[in-house]
Amino acid sequence: MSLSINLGKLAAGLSFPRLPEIRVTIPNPFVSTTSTSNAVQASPDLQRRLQEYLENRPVEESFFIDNGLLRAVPKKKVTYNRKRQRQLKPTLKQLPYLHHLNRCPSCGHTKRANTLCMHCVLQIKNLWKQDSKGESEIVEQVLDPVDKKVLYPGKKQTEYEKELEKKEYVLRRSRSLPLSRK
Amino acid sequence: MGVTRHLGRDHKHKRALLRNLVTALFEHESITTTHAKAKETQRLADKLISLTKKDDVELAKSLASSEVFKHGETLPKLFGELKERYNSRVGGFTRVLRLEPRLGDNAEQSIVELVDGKREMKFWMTARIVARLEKQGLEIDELTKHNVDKLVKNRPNGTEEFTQLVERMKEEFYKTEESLESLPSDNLRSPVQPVLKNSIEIVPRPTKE
Ligand SMILES: [Zn+2]
Repeated sequence: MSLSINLGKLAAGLSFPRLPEIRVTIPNPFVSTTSTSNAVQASPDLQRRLQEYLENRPVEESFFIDNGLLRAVPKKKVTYNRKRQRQLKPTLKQLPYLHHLNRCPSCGHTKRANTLCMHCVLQIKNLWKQDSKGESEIVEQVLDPVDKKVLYPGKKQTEYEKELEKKEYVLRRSRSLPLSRK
Repeated sequence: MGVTRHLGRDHKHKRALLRNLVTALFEHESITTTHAKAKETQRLADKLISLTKKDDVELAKSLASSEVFKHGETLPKLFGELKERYNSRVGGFTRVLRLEPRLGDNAEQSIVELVDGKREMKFWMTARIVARLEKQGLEIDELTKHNVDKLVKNRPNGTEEFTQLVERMKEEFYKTEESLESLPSDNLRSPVQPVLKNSIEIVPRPTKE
């Protein structure tokens, strides 16, 4: 059994073992400067930062540092050769090449054979949507901007809400390339 | 032998699903689902439209009512508008068109549509192709001509409707000079002439007597 202890972290002044449940509070040397004349004079900013760090130091951090436990790691480096062999072997994990490709007769872009071009289909579906706009009786009411200001004064959109309104989380179909025949 | 598609459900659940799908199909005339569901919906829809050709209308209505929802809207449409529309056809009332796989789970998608309906994707797509060819001054190839003939044949006022749609497509998609620049300069059909089965007559299925 080999045991390794990381000695690098055991800096002067912190050289006692830390255990998970025990929260160690170190007396701040800068606070009691009035009683001891030998104390080092540091800037108030540094003092404040040290105070803050000592108060808010998480317990978990102290558990994973300097506790003498080793965590699982790969035994050897995976060589470039081995990595490429694993990634390039013929398995189902790889994306297959598409050989059944055609061109869309209405826009000329590449598409799968025996399949409609999604770009053109969506454009036609949008036309249908336009046509049936007047048919449905349900009309979504939008609040007047002046009313909105009166009803919700001081309502401020956060950055997160603004990002959400862009609807970038919706998956969008990328268009295939136009095929250039040489 | 047909393929048994369980659609990952028990019998009752599957039946309810297909009932929903076929009701939506009769309502909207064109729906988009996964390919497996599309084929099953097509089967049921064709059966239901064939039912309307029975002599005993009351019996047919009672049989059909157990296969669709929204009886108040679906049944009058099925035994009125659709029955009349498919009077001259003996089968093939629906069409399934394959689409690109769905975003997210990569499932095969398809469109199910009622033939000669107001939202027949093949009709609109063919109109778009013809619009492009006419706008570019290219000759309309054999396959497109054949498709147009088939689409227009049984549709009332089909030819007029088609020419109107072609004009609309020119307005919508090929109006500006830039939209024409990116288009290919040929009619994009393979050099091999397709064998078209124009001469085949559909023979109705023989009855039991
Ligand atoms: Zn296209």
